[in-house]
Amino acid sequence: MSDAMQFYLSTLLIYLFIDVMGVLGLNLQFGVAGIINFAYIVFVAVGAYTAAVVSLGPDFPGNFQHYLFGASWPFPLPILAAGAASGVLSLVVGLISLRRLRSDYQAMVMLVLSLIATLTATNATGLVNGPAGLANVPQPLFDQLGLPPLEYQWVYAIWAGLLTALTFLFVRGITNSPLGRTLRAMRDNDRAAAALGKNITALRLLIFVVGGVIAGISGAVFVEFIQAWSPGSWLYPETFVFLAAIIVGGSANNWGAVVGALLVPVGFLEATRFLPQDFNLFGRHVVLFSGLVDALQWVAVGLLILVFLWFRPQGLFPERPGRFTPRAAIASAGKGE
Amino acid sequence: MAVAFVVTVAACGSTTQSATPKTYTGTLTFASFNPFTGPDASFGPEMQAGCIVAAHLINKAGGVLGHQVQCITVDTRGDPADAVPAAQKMIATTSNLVGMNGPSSDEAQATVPIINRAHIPMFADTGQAAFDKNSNDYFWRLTPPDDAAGIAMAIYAYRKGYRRGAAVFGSDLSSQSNVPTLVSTFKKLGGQIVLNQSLALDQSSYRSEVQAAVAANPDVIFTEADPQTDAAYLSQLQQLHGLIPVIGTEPTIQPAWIKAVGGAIGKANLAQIYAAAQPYAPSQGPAWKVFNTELLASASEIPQPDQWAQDPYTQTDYDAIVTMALAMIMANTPDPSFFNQQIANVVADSPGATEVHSYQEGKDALAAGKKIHYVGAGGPIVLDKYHNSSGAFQVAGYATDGSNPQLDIVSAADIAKYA
Repeated sequence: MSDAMQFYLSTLLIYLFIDVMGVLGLNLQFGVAGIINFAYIVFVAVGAYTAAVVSLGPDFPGNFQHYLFGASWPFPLPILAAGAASGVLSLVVGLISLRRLRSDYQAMVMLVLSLIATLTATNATGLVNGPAGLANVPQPLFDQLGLPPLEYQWVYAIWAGLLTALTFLFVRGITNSPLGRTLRAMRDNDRAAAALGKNITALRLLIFVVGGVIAGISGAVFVEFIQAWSPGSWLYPETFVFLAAIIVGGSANNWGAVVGALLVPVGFLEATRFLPQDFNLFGRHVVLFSGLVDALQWVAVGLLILVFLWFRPQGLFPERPGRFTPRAAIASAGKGE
Repeated sequence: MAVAFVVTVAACGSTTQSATPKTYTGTLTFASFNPFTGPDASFGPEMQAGCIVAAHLINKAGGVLGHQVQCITVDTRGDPADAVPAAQKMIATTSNLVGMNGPSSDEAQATVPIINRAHIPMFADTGQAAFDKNSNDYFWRLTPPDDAAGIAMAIYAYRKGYRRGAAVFGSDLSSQSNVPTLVSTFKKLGGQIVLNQSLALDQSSYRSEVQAAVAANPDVIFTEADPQTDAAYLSQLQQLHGLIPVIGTEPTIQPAWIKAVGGAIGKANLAQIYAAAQPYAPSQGPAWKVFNTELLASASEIPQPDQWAQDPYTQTDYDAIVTMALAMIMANTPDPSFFNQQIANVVADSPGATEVHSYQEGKDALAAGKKIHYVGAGGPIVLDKYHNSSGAFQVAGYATDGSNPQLDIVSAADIAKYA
């Protein structure tokens, strides 16, 4: 296999792992807890920017990019900082939007937040270098490992895979626990859950922050790989790609989230790059105008969501009903001992 | 185990550069690696037009070393996150990829290292100042950095007697990159920037921004924004205060901008207030004539080809492909690892070199054993040690017949004083 193909495949593998992380975080919020977070990509972006500015070193006069709080923190502190920053932002946003608003209004707040965040990052040029974004973000341990670029990229893929596996186990731990069952009860009928004594606001806030931390970490891993980040990378439609992955894979099913990430952001969107720009149709040579295929991608993502919501709303891997031993059975088993 | 996996997988490929050129069979491919969708979707067709014209002329001249050439488009979507896999895919799956135009400012920082590592010569249209002292062997830039446009705008404004300027630029990356040098140069010259606005794009109203501009009382507005944004802004300025002279950048000379703004404020009004600084491209002379004739004959592949006839970016993209093709002949191989070193020699004005203005002329001269000096459709190319060729700027106006009369020239030396 050529070097170029290895670079390409390892890039796709890393993108897959990062997307799986992101989709797992949103699935926890949307699929399991029923929080409609249309601003999810903002938390990914905050993680990415945080990891970038704490890796780039202090800003200096004459620098081609300008940002706040530059530092040179060693690996893995930028990733931890990214998770923390996104978590704190989630807490603030959650405190404002999750306490009193109904879910449909929460969704509107999140969408507006996403737009405001993009405009702020673009226009406040001293914050994170405005529309140009940040570049030359150092890759973790690149100098210390001393590997050639291709070998380093495979190591990075393994590292991203390990983080993804840890994220999966962590999320599965939540969804399989009593907390997960409570979250699903809250999602299905929040009033009933509240009537049973569950603190709905606290639960929503908790899972909103956990999802935000995961989003931030995925953003950090992303920016440390591509070494650049700008507002064009996190426009609000990106959240809908994650949502499409959840709907296609299967809402509230962690394996469904993995499959959805494989099929939509990586498989579906990447496959369109292979569509021909010209072809023969009934003996005529047809040349598509440049960019048509790519422009249709967003249309295709929207259609994908509609088709699945219409024909298979449960997704490819439907949520499995929880299995637990009824209290009565536990009690009777106890008597027998 | 992980390390063993890495070593095993990586060992499947070769990372060393061969001492002998690779052998190529079939058509050679040049890529236009630029945004074809997204906010900067206009960049891609502008670039692709230059590539198509060059490919036609190269093929008419018998190809390069027996190979026909073709152009493909690779959409970066103007976003580094999308551009990275696009670049990797282009490199991995495009057969006989020997060179490319692009990337633009939107994705250059993320993709230039990838393309450089793959040993693909790239003629970038990024204007980012980060590449002013480029260290990538395969990176070349024939157009000035964005910050040079800001300098040219300031110099022209000062020459015209304007002393109170308002910087009104779109919030997008390309527009904003003009602002720092515009502001600093205008101040150095003795002018005053009375207002610096970053416009959120495509709003239905800019009333509050226009009111702020009116209150600042500028005698000139410097601008670059997308057509809809500037059209809305300037028409509201016309309503609230009356028009103020405008100095724009190269994107404001594009037909879409002229049409939108001219429609909003009136073409006659636009002709009275408008000037724009763009990289100097003579749009005359033997090289341009060859380019323009073939461009106008390429309507089957290039929609409305005449719109690119005076476009400096289309002209330099054309020059880039011709330069690479001639470098291949000089190196006697289409292998980029070998012909990349010859690129500077193709355009160097070395003693005894024969000046050539087209691929055909260059090919013939090289076949006759002569040294060549390629002068392109975009004018002479003077590369510095960082592979940059910045050159002069021309200031063009607008006439109601649709032409862009030349108003002034800002020389490369003048720009260098304030760079």
